[in-house]
Amino acid sequence: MGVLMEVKDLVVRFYTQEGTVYAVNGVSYTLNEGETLGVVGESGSGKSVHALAIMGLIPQPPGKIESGEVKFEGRDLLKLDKEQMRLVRGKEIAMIFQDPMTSLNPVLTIGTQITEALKLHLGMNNTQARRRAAELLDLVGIPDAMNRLDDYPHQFSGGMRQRVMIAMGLSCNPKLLIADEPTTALDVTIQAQILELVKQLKEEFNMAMIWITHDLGVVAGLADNIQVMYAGKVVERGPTKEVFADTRSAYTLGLLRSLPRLDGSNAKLIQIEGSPPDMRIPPKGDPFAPRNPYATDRCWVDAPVLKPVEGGHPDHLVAAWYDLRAALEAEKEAANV
Amino acid sequence: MSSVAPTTQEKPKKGKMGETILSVKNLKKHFPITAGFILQREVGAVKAVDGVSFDVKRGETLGLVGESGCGKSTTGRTILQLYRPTAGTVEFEGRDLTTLKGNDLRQMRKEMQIIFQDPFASLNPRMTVGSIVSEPLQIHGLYPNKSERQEYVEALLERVGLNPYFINRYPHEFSGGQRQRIGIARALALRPSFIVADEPISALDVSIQAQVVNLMEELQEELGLTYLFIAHDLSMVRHICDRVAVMYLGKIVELGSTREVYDNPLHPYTQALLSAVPEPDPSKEANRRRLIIKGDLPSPANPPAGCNFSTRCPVSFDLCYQDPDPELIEHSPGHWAACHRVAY
Repeated sequence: MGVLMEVKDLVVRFYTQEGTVYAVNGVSYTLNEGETLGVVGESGSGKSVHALAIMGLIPQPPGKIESGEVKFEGRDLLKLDKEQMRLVRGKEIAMIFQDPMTSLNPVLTIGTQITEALKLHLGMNNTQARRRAAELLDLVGIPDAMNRLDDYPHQFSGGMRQRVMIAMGLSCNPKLLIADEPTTALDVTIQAQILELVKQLKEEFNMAMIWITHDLGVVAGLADNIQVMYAGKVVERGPTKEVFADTRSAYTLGLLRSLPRLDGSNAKLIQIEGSPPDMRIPPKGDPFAPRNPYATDRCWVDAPVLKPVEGGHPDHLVAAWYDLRAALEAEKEAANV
Repeated sequence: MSSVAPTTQEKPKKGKMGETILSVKNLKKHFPITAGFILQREVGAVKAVDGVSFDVKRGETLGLVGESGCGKSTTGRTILQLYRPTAGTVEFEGRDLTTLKGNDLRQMRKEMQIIFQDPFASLNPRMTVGSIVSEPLQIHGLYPNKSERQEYVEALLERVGLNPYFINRYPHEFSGGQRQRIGIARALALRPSFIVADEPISALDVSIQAQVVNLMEELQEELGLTYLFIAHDLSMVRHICDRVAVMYLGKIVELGSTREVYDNPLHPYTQALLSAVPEPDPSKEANRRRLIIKGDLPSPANPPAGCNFSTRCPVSFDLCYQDPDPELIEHSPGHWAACHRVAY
C-alpha cells in the first residue's frame, strides 16, 4: 500500500474578537491508500478543524493556516489556488458532515445536488448524471431511487439524508472520504445501519477514509488506525488494537476508563478531573498535564513530541513524558501489597 | 463528604426505601394536529405517549430508553405535570397528580424536580447562579432569611462540585459540565425525593459525562433520591439504572431489571437496540454479529396497525399486523415484554 496523504506540522489558528484560538497545534501523520483512520477527540480538540484545513474549507479570515503541508499524492493541497482546489474537492477527496439537515441545500432536489458533482468533475450530461445518481442512491440503500431524485431533503428522514450525503460523497469515486461525526446526530439503530453500509462501500470503492468521532466505540469496529487528539495535538496514534489494548497516553486511558460498558463490567466510572483547556491560551508543556494523575514535572514545562512507544508495536506512537505502562504496573503492585 | 447544607430545615425522611413512590397507569399524551387558520379543527393526533404504565420504587433508578421520538421525554414531563396527560393517572406518594392543580400541585413539586438535557438552554442567561439556584426556595418561601438562604445555596454549590465563590457569576461563564452541575443544584434546592433526569449527560463531552454521572450516584446514595433516568445511551443506562423500560413509539415494549433486560432481552426491538451499540473494544467489535433492523421509526401520528414494531421487526408474523397490539406481559418475575413472538 502506497502513501496517499502526508500531513506535516499543520498549524491552524483563528483570530477572533475574543482572542486567538489555537485550534490545531502541529499535527503530522501519513495516511495510506485504503486505510481507515479514526480520529478521536472531544469538542475543541481540533479534530474537525484539521479536516477542514485539508479540504481547504477554513474561512480565512478569521482562520489562518499558519504553517504545514498536506501532500496528497505528492501535491501540496495548501499551495493550490481556489480553482485547482475545487477540482480536488469532491473528486479526489470528499467529505460528509455531522448534520445532514444543514449540509444539504433545502431548496434543491437531491437529484440536482448529486448530479452537480457528476457533471462538474466527470463531465456527464444530464441523462447520464441522473442515471448514475439513481445508481448511487440505490447503492446506499434508498428504495425507489429513480423516483426519489426529484424529492427535496425535507422529504427524507435523518438516516436517509445521511445516506444521500454518503451517495454524494462517493459520486466521483474519491480516493479519500473524510467523515466528520456522520453518525452522531443519528439514533443507534440507524447508526448501525450507516456503519454497516460504510464498511461495505469502503471495500467496493477501495478508498481511504478518515472517520472523525468522539465515540471510541464507533472507531473500535471500523478503523485500522486510531489517532487520539487533545488540545489541537495528536497525543496517541497506532493500530486500533494496540491503542485499545496497550494504551500509552493518560488521556486515552482516561477516556476508556470513564466509559460505561454494555456488559456492566465497568462497575465504577473513573472520571477525568477538570475540563478541557481554553484554546485561547497557547498551550504550554503537555496540555493534558493539569488533568493527568501521572504527569511528571517535565509535562508542565516541555511539550512532548510523538515518538514510538517503548516495547510496543513499531507503529504505535505516543506524546508523553511519563511512562504510562510503568505507572500502571506500579499501581497494580501497590494494590497487591 | 459534607451533607447538603444547614440543618435548619431538615425534613424528616419520609417513607421506606423500596416502597412504591410513583405509580404511572395507562398514561397517554396526544398532541393535536390541527388544520385551518381561524377555525382550527383537529385532524389527528401525535400519540407521543400512548398507554404507559410502570411503578418506581423509592431509592431506585429507573431508566427510560429509546430512540428519538419514542416519547421518553414526553413521558417524563407528563409525569411531572409539565404537560397535562390526555388520559391515565400518575400517583406520587399516594396522590394522583393529574387531579391536582394550583397550589396543591405546586406543593407536590417540592418533592419532584427535573434536570434538563441542554445545560445551555435550561439556565436563564440573565440570572446569576445564586439566583437560579435560590429561585425555587423563594417561590416556596423557604429560607426567608437572606443570609441563611445564601449560606444554603453556597453549601449546595459546593456539594455539586462548584466553587461557592462563583455564586454571583452568570451561566455563560461556565463550561457545559459546570452548567449541568448548576442544573443539578437547582433541582436539589427543595430537597426533592424524586428527580426526572432528562438526558442529563448527552450534551456533554465524553470526559465530563462520567463526572456528572458519578456526582448523581453519590447524591442518590447520600440523599436517598429516586431517579427516572431518561437516556438513549444504553451503556450508561446499564451503568446507572437498577431497572430499565424500553420505549418504542409511545409504548413500553420491555421492562425489567437492568441485568435481566441486557443479558436476556426478550423483545426483538431491545435485541436490535443492544446489538447496535458500538463498544470501545476492537476484539468484541470484530466478532460481533449485529442485528440490523431496517427502515426508520414510523410516525407517531400514524402508527402501524397491530404491533408498533411490526414494520421493522425481523421476526414478525401474521398476528403482529392485526389489532390489538401486543400487551405487556410478565414473562419471568419482574421482566415484562410486549411481543406476540415471545408470548406464543
